[in-house]
Amino acid sequence: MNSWTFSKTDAITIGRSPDRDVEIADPYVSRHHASLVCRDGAWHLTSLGRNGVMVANQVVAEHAAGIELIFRLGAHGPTIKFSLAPEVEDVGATYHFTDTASAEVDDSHFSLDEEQVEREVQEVVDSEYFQKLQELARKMRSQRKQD
Amino acid sequence: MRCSSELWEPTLGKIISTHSFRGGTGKSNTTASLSVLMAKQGYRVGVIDTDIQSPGIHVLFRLPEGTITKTLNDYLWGKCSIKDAAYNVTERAIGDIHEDSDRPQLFLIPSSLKTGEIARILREGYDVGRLNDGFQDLLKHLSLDYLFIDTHPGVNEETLLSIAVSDTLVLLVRPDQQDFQGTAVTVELARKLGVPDMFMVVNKVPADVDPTALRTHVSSLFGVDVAAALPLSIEMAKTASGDIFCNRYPQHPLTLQLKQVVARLLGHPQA
Repeated sequence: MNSWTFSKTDAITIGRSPDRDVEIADPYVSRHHASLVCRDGAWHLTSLGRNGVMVANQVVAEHAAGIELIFRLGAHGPTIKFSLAPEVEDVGATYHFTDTASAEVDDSHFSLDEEQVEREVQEVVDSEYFQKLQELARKMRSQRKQD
Repeated sequence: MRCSSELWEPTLGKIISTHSFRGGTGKSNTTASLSVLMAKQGYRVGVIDTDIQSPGIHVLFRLPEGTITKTLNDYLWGKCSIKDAAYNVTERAIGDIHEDSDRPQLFLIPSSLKTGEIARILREGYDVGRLNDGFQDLLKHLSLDYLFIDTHPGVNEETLLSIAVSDTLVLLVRPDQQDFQGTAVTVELARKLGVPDMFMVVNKVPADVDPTALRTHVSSLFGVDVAAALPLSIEMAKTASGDIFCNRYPQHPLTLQLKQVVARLLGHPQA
């Protein structure tokens, strides 16, 4: 189990990228996966990555954190416990990992290599054919809207 | 690819592409049932088999031998109009309706099953722009409300064209890691092509898997709505492409799920 403690901050970033406040080297975690932001004294969790964030087995885009929140990075990523540390006067948070498996679906082998996806998408997008197609699709939809 | 503006002549009918990254997902069986269920709602529906390399959807409609004289291949080679390759399968797939009725109607545009013709089109290729002309002509000349495109698995020029011109993209995926990576690529490409509506259907879900949890998981993974998790069905396997599943098993849980997908396509997801 890993833990991080922060103080005197109102935003914490989470992800696989080295520039995240909470860097998690896990293939199921997006590079920029989620953030915790304090607004008007209340912390809010926001999902940023493709793999989503789950609270109580539900996918959430944003969720109030309260003084404690357990959430999961993606459907089979690590579980994180966020809590405000009472001994710190200023805003702070501690994160704990637990390795809990989904009870409903044995989906531990379902995952995406996001970097590979990005590379493959980019290869197609860079092609002349795709760019022509993209332009024509734009024209078509614009024309349909006008009609 | 031709780029002329007439390729994009607006029509009232909508194009629905059904696609899977890998073969064997049940795409043709699903497409056939969706088209039949859609037509039964009182629409004029077409189904075109653009899986030229490995065609098969026409088998499900059981057209008598000798009925198919022209195919999509002939159209792509300039040998006939696309209308000439369209077969009215309403009576066979839906049943008797009044001969003057405009709706429902169901049309099938098959690809050739002849190995020589398949080999030729793979060897020589064809004009992808002409394929889109065919889509638009079908919508217009058959006055279709919906045209289903049964695509070739994977990502190639035809697939991308079908996705680009779609009003709705239905992505089929099995709960199988082999399907997931390529499907994610397809999802991103569809987004970049601005497809207005896209959702997923998970097919062949084993009985011991919670379909609700699986839908949540897949939706989370791809960031795409999952309209249904279709059960792995022994009845489907027994049908062996000898019939359209929703007709043979109208009350089967799989058929009921397919009806939910049709409701989603019609914009009535709660129906």
